[in-house]
Amino acid sequence: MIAWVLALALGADDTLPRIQQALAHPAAIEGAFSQAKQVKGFKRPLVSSGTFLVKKDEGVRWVTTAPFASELQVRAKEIVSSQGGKVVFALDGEKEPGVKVITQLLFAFLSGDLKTLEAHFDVKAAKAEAEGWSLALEPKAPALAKVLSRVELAGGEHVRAVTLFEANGDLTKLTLTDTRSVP
Amino acid sequence: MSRALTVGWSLVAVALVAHQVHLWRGGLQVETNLLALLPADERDAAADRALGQLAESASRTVVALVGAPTLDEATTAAEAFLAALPTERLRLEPPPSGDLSALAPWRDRLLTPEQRRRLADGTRESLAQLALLQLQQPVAARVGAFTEDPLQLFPEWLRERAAATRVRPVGRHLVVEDAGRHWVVLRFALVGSAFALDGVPALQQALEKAQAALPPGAEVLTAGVPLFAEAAAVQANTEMSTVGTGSLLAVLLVMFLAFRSPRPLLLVVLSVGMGLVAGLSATALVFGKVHLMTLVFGAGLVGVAEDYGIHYFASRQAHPEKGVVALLRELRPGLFLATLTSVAGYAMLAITPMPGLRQVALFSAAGLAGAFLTVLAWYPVLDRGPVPSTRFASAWAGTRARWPRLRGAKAAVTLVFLLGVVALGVARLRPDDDVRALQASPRALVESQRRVAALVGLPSPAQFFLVRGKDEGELLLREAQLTGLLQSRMRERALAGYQALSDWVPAASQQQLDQALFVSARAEVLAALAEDLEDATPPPPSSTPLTVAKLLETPAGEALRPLWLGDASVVLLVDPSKEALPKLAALGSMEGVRFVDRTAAMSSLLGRWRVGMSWLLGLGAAVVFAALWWRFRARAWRALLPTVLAAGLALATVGFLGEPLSLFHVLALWLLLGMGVDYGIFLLEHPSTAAGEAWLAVGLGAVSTLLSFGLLATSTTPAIHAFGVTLGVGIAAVWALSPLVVDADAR
Repeated sequence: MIAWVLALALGADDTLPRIQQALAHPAAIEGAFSQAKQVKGFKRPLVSSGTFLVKKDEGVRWVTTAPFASELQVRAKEIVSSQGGKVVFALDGEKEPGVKVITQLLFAFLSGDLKTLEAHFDVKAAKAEAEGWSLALEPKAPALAKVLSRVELAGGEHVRAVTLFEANGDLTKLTLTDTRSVP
Repeated sequence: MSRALTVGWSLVAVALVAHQVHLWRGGLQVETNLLALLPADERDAAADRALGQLAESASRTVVALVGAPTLDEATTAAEAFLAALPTERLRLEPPPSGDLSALAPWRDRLLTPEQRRRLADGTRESLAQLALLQLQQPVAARVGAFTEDPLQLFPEWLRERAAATRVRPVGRHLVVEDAGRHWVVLRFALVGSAFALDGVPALQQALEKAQAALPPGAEVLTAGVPLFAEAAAVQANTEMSTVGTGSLLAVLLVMFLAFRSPRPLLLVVLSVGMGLVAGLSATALVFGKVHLMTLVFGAGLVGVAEDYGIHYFASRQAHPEKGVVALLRELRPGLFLATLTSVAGYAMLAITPMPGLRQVALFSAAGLAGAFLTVLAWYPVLDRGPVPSTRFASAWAGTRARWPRLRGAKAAVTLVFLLGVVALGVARLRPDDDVRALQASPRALVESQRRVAALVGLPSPAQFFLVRGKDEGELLLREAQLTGLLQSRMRERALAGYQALSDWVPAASQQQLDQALFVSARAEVLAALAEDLEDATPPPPSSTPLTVAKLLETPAGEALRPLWLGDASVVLLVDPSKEALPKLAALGSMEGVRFVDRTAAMSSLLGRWRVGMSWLLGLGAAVVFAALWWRFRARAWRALLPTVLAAGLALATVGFLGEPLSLFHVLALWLLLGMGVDYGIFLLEHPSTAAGEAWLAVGLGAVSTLLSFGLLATSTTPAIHAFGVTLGVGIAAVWALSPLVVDADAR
């Protein structure tokens, strides 16, 4: 029993640095995504796809191309959703301090920023093997737990899959492909 | 008659002493709130209730912001601060729940103005696409089931409410972030009273102790009415002992020099003591509470109340051959007239609408009467034995005969010179009626309060709107109209924000319109997405209108309670800029809306009274002249002229010093009129320049009065300082001028 706990602890100690090692840490990445969102009340998951651009210290640009085009800019100072250049909704980071946290988290999910993730989440399970790694996270702060109950990440050099378990029962599965560093 | 007086005053004295024992055993309630010195709102009882509600919640709350560069550092610093803070006087309040979910049952009735436009303009397709667009965002924390609120209008409405303040719950604390610094907001309730009669700033010391425990890089900002009350109490305590001790020492010193015997000294102290006792008892009986400022001011009364005893003993010393009773009979008319003019001077303070000044007036009038009666009733019984002459007394008395005489051209030149000085000084006078002169708070405290108010978005307690309507619906509609205009003023930076109930509870008619919009938009979206939904036609929500009463019952409503007066509502302003106040005041002309500007109202009140009391001063002088005429006939002007000239010189001094002229200078002139004339009376009662005893009495009285009121000039409270300067200069001038005028043509 003690040996098992010890092994687990050692394993956990070892896994995160290995994941850290596996990940490339470019200043910016881009790629394509497909998203399947299971929303309570809907018969089928809502599917969408498009491209994304993640820049360290700047934010995330999330461009949905199907089923209809829209663009989401997530930055520390604001979150703006637009359609055909027209703003659909906007959150001002100055008025809404949560904007900064959302920006940080989305950046961390897409780029695999372990430092930020560990600051906001407890690592519930971690695995690192030759073909890839996976992580299961649960929020530390009750305020965050009101929104997200669990997050699962998987990847290799880049993050390949993000699953968000929302507290209200919705489930979002993101698959990231063609991820590459941008200069 | 004198026996009856002795017995009567003795009985009163027994009652007074019994009352004092009761007072000092804890029956004495001391008021520290400086606002209590100010009159109630002149026109509006609702404004007063609003102020009362605001003051009640504010008067017991202390806020501390613990700041550091990062959230973690700030939280650690806050924990260290709390651990080191002594808890006897300050109890940590749990942060308000801030739970807005209790309003969810009314989600179909609560729309932002922008949402109203969006829903009204939207088509079935555009609305459905909007719903899907929101769903397809990677981060979309939905509130409630999709079919309840497919467009997620409620969370958006909540965000707009929350945007009114930058304070957010983080973990167990409330945190506000500003310019790269995180501040943990700690709220404390005061335990016990902020009043420190012992002069120990217990709250300040407790906060400083906790501050010392902060890790490096962290800082703390404190705010709250109790801190200001404590600072005022400590300051008043210091000033009270300075003025009280100073004037008492001065009296003792001159008494000792003049009489070199314990009996006159003890008896004068007795008359002053009885005066103070009578003043305190009268004030406590009439007002229930005694204000701190009354006590500070009352300490200065020592310098006036002792005049009667001194005058008596100076006469005894000069006429050892006369019996006590016979002497008192001779002195009585003069003493009576002197008391009467002084009491009349103080009584003028009582006709002002300021409760604080009324207290001072009553305290002083009762105190002077008490001292006067003690001389009259007890001295014949207690003062047995001779009052030997002393070298100091005769030397002083002798100076009257050597005082310069002014006659003919010399008198005219002197008069013209004095009038010239007065004219020059008075021309420099600049009136300033700012009510803030009543309070002199430590600068560090004011600065800290200002920063906390800016960070947390504390509304101004001095300026707000009152809104009324024939019913709740009309009231809320008017309020919404007002806040619409306030929003445009916010864009012009006239104010940082506002707090209004109608943001939370739209008028019932508006709620009905909003609900219709909500229901139809929801139906459009659900119809468009019917194929994809498990249950395409859930019943529409049915809610009853949200009322103010229902809102106030929710956790979110708790903080809004001060805004509701039952028949009127209050719209509070956050950081209204001073320059924009006229613009905001203009909004008060809307129907059912009134702009309340406490600071401006009080300042204008002080200004009107300054002008009014100045004009009345002329009338007062005429009344005093009539009283003097009754006794002195054609010589009456000689008692009055020195005081009038002294008043001019006192005003001129204020002008030369460059200090702004306020109501308090004018009121001090009333006291000068009452007291200064006494000196003229005493001298006129003993017209012969050889009669040095009156001159001795005037001199001794003036020196101690000068010291006690002069010490008021050291006060950091501008109002008390104004009294000190005016009376200090005025009394000195009366003293110097009286013999010039009274003895002008004496041989």
